[in-house]
Amino acid sequence: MVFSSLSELWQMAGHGPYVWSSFGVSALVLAGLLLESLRRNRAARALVASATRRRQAERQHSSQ
Amino acid sequence: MANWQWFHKWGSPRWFYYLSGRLLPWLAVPALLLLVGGCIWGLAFVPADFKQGNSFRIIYIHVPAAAVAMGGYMLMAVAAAVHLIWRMKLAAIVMKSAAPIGAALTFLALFTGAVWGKPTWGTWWVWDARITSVLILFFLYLGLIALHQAFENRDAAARACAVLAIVGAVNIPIIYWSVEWWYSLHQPASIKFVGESTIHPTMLRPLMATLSGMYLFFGWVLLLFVRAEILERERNTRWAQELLGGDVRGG
Repeated sequence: MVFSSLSELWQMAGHGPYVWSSFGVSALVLAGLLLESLRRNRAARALVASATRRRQAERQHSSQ
Repeated sequence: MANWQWFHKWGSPRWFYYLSGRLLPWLAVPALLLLVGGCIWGLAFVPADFKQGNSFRIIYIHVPAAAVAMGGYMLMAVAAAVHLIWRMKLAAIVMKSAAPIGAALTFLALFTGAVWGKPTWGTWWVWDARITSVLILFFLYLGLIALHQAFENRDAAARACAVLAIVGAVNIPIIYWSVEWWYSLHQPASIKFVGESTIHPTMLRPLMATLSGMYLFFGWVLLLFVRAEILERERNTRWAQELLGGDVRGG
């Protein structure tokens, strides 16, 4: 490490607020994108599941 | 005709869903390793810039976000053209799915650029060519999302968005060369396709890590959005229902 302590790494000789806010906001936005894409996949799988149940119910209904 | 077989296979949502599923871990793992590793490397293990001090470390997120925002736009424009010319449905899905990712990355490029500008130029914002053209890129992405939502009919939405995406592609070379064409506060590119790069290798290596990590991240999240859209559209097909058969029995 080029900094001699963690507090120096945090302060970055006065540039800490700029550097860490950039990386912090970026981490939040990228994590948000990833979570949203996973949530969309879960929702889509639930849609397929309910469409399957509807089809099975219709098939049972028509065979009775 | 055999040469075109791959085109039809990859163009079929069913095949794409299957193949992209196998591709996901190969994008996800290196994307996370390169992004996280490259950021730690650039934040703590590279010496400070002799002019800018520690604020230059913002480069390790700013440049990847900006580069992939532009690269993502080009991918979106190519998908738009493929959709218009060959009426390929998958291309329309790729185009629609790329927009929110591109918008988020463009926002990050603008945000980190503003935060970098304050200690370096003494201002958060200037209306110069580079920054203004990236702001236009952001509005193009937002415009595409809004335009798609404005249509009831999915095919009409895809055609309108494809035209806007292709026309908007004119902005990409403008962004790229804006720092050369106009007087600008923004520094010219340090990594050049032609000629010597003007960045020290010690500083360049972590940038290469986060840059390639960001491209892989874009590919990973794009595939995830595309897969969700495919399932939504194909929910009444037999292949989708058979593929997720386990989920059905589970409840």
